[in-house]
Amino acid sequence: MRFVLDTSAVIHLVERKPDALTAELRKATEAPSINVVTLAELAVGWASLPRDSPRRRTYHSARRMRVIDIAANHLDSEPTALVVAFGECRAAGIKGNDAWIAATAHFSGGVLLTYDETLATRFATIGDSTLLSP
Amino acid sequence: MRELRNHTREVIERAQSDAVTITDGGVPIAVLTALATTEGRWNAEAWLVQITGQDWAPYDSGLAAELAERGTSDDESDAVERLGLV
Repeated sequence: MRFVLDTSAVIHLVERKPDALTAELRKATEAPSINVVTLAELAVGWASLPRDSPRRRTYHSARRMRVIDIAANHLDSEPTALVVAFGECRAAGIKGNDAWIAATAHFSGGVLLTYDETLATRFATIGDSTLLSP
Repeated sequence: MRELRNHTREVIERAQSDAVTITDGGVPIAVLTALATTEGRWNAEAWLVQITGQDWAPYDSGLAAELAERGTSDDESDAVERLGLV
């Protein structure tokens, strides 16, 4: 099973290590992915928080994950599967950065892991998602 | 997270007993990285420990001492990267 973590899932995993999430990830058959947008969101937190903030470590942990780089891999030719997936995510009502994150899961055929109920509900109309409870 | 910590210990011990090729004299993060990425294998436990980070630290006093000796900051990730362990 292939998983893509949204930003909320990364934060919970690194900072709280919830059993429900780690149990899901033990089902994975390959290293879970994050979209580079998630890394960017965490980088903003890293840059804006005090040095002793635990959240700053979350960014460093996320850097160890498998990051799907949109620009390097998927936007160099005709509209690609990822871009098509992005459009489908937008059509499903997923907005802003979440649309890129969801597109990564949709494009790769992976399960989107998130703590965001709205995102999970909307993504479920086009792909597989697992809504986690805090 | 006792269960995860137990898994962590098992993963480290198993990796070391399997003589996984590493260059850092048994530093867990290197063991875990090797376990998680080599030969097409993917190990969920190794990955979880690698990502959640803190759990491996108590099991390697050598790494902790090395970090302290080099005067690194309290940011483990930065320190590990500077040491070239990842």
